[in-house]
Amino acid sequence: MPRGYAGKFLEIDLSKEQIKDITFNESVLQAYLGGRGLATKILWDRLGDSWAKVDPLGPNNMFLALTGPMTAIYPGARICCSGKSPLSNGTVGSTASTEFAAELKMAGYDGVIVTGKANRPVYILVTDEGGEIRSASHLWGKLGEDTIRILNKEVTEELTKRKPNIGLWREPGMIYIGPAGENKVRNAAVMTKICHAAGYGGYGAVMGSKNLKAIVAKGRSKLPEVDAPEAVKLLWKEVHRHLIAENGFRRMGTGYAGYSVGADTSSEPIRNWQEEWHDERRFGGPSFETRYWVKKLWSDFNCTTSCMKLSCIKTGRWKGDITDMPDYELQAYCGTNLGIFDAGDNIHISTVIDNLGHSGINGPNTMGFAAELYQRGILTKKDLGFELKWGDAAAFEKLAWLIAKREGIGDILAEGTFRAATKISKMKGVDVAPYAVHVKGIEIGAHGTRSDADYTHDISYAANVQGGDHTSVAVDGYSELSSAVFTDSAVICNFCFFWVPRALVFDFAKAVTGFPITMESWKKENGPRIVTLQRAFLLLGGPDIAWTPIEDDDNPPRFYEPLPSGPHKGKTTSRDQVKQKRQVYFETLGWDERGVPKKETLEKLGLNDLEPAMKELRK
Amino acid sequence: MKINIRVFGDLVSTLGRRQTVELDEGATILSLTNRLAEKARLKRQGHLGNHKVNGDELAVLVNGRNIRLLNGLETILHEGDEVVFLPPAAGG
Repeated sequence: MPRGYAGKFLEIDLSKEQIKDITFNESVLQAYLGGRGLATKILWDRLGDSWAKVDPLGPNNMFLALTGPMTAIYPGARICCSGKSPLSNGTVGSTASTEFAAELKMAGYDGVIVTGKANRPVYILVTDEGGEIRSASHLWGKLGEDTIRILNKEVTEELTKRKPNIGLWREPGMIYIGPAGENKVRNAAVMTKICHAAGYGGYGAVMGSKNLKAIVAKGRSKLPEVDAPEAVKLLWKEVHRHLIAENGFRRMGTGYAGYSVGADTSSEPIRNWQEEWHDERRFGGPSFETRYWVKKLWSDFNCTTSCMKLSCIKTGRWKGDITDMPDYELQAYCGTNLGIFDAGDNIHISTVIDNLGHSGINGPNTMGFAAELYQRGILTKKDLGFELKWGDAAAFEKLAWLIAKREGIGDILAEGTFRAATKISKMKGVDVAPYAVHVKGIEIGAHGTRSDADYTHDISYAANVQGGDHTSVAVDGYSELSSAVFTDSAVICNFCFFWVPRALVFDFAKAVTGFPITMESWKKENGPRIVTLQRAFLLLGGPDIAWTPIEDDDNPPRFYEPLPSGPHKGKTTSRDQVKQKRQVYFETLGWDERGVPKKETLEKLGLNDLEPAMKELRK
Repeated sequence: MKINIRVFGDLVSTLGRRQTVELDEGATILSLTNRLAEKARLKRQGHLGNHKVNGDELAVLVNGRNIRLLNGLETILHEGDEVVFLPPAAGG
């Protein structure tokens, strides 16, 4: 039995109300590990034959919440959510930091796999005794904070009743959806811990489409055994030594420290990416620290980095709002991208977004898109029901609610930026696709490519199998296969990974699992195997769209407009660079000039059963 | 021959963002990095800043291709090649 794993996965068919424990071959676990990798493999095995026909918001889609062998053992425990994405029609390994992942493993489960659709709102409870389906009718419609409060109390009382002599020690862990997910807003997030989200991919909508409000876990056993306990103890201390020395994110959070990456390099979205520079220098970290931070060191399970800061608004218009920092992405997307430059307003929008269960990046991307259409007179006060001016936090709050409830124009915007653009173009007889900032349906993270000064460049998103996902960008088809593709499959936090010597991380992986894991094998084999499968899914797509190779392996039109302001004024993404780097990227991964995986690549990676489908695409 | 260099992340402070370097025909990545280290007065052998040149952390690309897939430090450069130095980085 491979180590690091609890030893089984919970599979629940919500249509038939069938619950069972399943396992996977050691060879599968060794190749795919867990999280993103394993989810991709499971989805191929179960749905690969009919992929193009599977409706991501229908009962045939699967929702997976998987950990990995390193989760909760290596610093920074996370859960990885996946399934067929309602946005890209491919798959994303969408992670969130949460004790839910640790509780799951301590309950004896490495993950939960959900199929079918419940005939009324339900939640799944996972304990040492197994999985149960419980009614969530009293929770449906509730905002995030209320959901946690009610479920916490309910599950704690229930479990205490069942075993009155055994304490719970910590509150149960849970992932849940808000009204956005319930109403199948296509880019809705899977939420956890009030303000954490598995944001990319739209998996909140997948949960909503199954009438699944939450999955709650409480484990009372130990974490799984590791293969070489003495080695793991030593390696943990070494990793910890590196993480404790890295002070930036601990002192300033990713919002503050992240400012030096996105904002200072003139790559931060302003008003739907119309600009990427602002002079509101007072908006960065300092405006939050002194006035709003109430908790300066907050971390998740087994995390040394402790990058979270808790912000609370104690007086005034938005009194009572609580959120994390916000982090850089939400400072940008719930702030500058909406023309908002006030810290309090930014915290407020972040709180609203989190409570509604929108993705903090993808939801406000659509809102920014709508606001630009309003600016251009394409969407009017009549369409929206109110004015949508840049910087008006109250108006954006209204819009967030409209979309979450799919009311009025919210019903169109709830389809995500790409599909909303298609619908609005038809509706208004104006092509609004030039204003939609997404790649393959997945709205782009707050790091632009035009300044070329941030870490995102020409093909970062254009060639990315996860579209606009900034956490897992394309670099050269080789070096990046041992970063996010690995961390999303081992399921550990990137912020406990970035500044630890890679060799140490991979030694840790080996010491936990006993697998011959190396960075080289991830770059040359494991990583390419996973992204090749993800590429195949994207090309097969369906049911409403499949991406056109080359044409859709590109940046949005906005990223080719010259920057109108700031220190990199006039610069833009180079089409030539994109073309050249994309070819090299495809070639490095063993895909043809259109990015279709070649036969010999599939053979080399042991993915021969993809050949019939890929052969069709090569024609 | 002229080689175009682009630098990102924390190496920018030591090497600058862009530069053109004059090298002899047949020069390798190793000679390039030696020259860059010399110009920037970097003392640590085999490193650019804190990054081991032939290590796992720094991605060195020649015209988009990682040198680990070419000939590593012995990769031969040609007139007009673009070499990119990418320390590991990402956002959050």
